[in-house]
Amino acid sequence: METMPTNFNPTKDGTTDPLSSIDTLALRALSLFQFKNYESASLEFSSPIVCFLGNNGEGKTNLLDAVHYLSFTKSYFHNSDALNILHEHDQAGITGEFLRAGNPELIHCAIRKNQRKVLKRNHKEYERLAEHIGLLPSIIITPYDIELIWEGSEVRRKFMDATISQYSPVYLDHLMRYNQALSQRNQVLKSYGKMGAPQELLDPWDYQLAFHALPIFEERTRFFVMLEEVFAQVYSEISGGKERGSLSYSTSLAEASMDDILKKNREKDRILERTTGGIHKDDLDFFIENQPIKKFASQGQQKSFLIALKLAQYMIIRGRSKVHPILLLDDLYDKVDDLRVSNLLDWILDKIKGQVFISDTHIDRIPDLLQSKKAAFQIYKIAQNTCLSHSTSIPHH
Amino acid sequence: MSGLPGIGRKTALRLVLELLKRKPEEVKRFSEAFIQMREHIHHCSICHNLSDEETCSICRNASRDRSTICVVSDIRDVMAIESTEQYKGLYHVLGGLISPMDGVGPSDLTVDDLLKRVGSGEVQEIIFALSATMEGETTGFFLYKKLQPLEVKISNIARGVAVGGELEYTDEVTLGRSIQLRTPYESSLKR
Ligand SMILES: [Zn+2]
Repeated sequence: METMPTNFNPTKDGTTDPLSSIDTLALRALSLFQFKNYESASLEFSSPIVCFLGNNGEGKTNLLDAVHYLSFTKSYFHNSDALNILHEHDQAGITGEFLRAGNPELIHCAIRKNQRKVLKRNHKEYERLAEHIGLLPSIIITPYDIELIWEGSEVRRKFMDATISQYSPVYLDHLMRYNQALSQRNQVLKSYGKMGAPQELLDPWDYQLAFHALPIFEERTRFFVMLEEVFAQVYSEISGGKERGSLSYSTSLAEASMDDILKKNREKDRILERTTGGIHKDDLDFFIENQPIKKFASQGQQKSFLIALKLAQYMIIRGRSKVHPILLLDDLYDKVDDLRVSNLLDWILDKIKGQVFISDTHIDRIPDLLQSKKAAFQIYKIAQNTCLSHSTSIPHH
Repeated sequence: MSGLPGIGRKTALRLVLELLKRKPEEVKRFSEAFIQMREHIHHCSICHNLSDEETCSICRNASRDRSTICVVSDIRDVMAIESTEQYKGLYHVLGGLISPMDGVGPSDLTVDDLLKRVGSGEVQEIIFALSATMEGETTGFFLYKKLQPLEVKISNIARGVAVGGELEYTDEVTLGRSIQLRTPYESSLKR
């Protein structure tokens, strides 16, 4: 199994970070066809920071989601591909021209109603979409992240899985197989219902679940150890060090093997007609000053916590996948005041050497802020589903 | 015709128009061939391979090794393995793989017939040649549990790096599995 490289130290300042060994990644051009609210659009990017500015509902977030699509082969917001097709049409396309470690990567994703989605890398179709995950990593920070606090454990497992999958294809394979075995086992339980499924038919699936649960548990544990450390550091830096944020990872695999968990729950599983225990019940818990964040933190504190969590995710993926991920900052001023945004941008300009996309509803405040920090950036004004390149600012040093 | 797999409405129309162009006798011979095929070809009573007689040509062939049975899910797998000309034993066609979500359980497969064949005593080795999918592996595990008490040697076809393939271009999942399921060097020496 992979271990953390010894020179990985995202918590120290840039000078000790071995950033020179990390590959560059940039999106140079993006074109959309009947994707979400865009009939068609094409954008070119020439700056490390790109701003999408315009009123709500004009399609800024959709541009960020298009980048997410090219990274993860799916939307951050909708599980169903069909929902990402422009209303009253039956197909959509997204094309991105990337430069990864200096090499061009042309990615094209075609979505059709009621048909298999097709993903091509340099004109060659992938046999399995999973093969693409991790090639062009990205991290999105959006107001919808609040789900991580408010929704059920599924959302937090998705966060863990989306992170680990970007640097470990082996993990992703175990995870997909575990989930498949889980669905099959639940189907056996359901089809026998009150009669109770015979153990003989459950055994093969129990064997598969146990086989895949262990490496998933081990990799999540390793990930959590990294996350805990990186998160504490980032949170303290962006919140001014006034309070302590922390996380915990809860999993039934810590006390018992998957085999034992399945054995213990046999009768319960038959009565409830589903698999009640296992790695698919893992969860993350969030705390500020050891108090559960869901109950005891203000909206502003929760937002800072989530930003730190996502930035920690960024640092971990960068350290493990050896490429600078693309950072997508959706609606940067959401629940964050001017001073915090300014501090956050300082932190990002200092620590993040990859491409950054920022969306905001105001035309001036982000450009003014970036100008005052002497950062190079590019602006697209977004209105009524059209994207107008406005200006590119290159600072004088 | 568009009800057949792989034939869409356009192709079906093209086939129908083509048949209408042909002479009636020709079309009649054609349709008789279909009926003949459906009436005379059935499944081998021993291995469930396709056959125009009670038992298939492989089961009837006296030179085949009757102590070895290769278990496959589909008749197409028999054809694939036969075309390698590397296997001299018999087959057993399961007729699918266990997949509760597709409504396929062990009773929908020819599992009982396989157990009867092995129980008759002539068989010494069972080779699983099932796909490397979740359903293939699960079906293998289920059969393994059933066959274990019968004291027969059970093996699985090797999986891993493609012959002639370079390690660098092998996907990480396959390569990782190849390391886990490594074999003694002696067994890779050409015999
Ligand atoms: Zn036969």
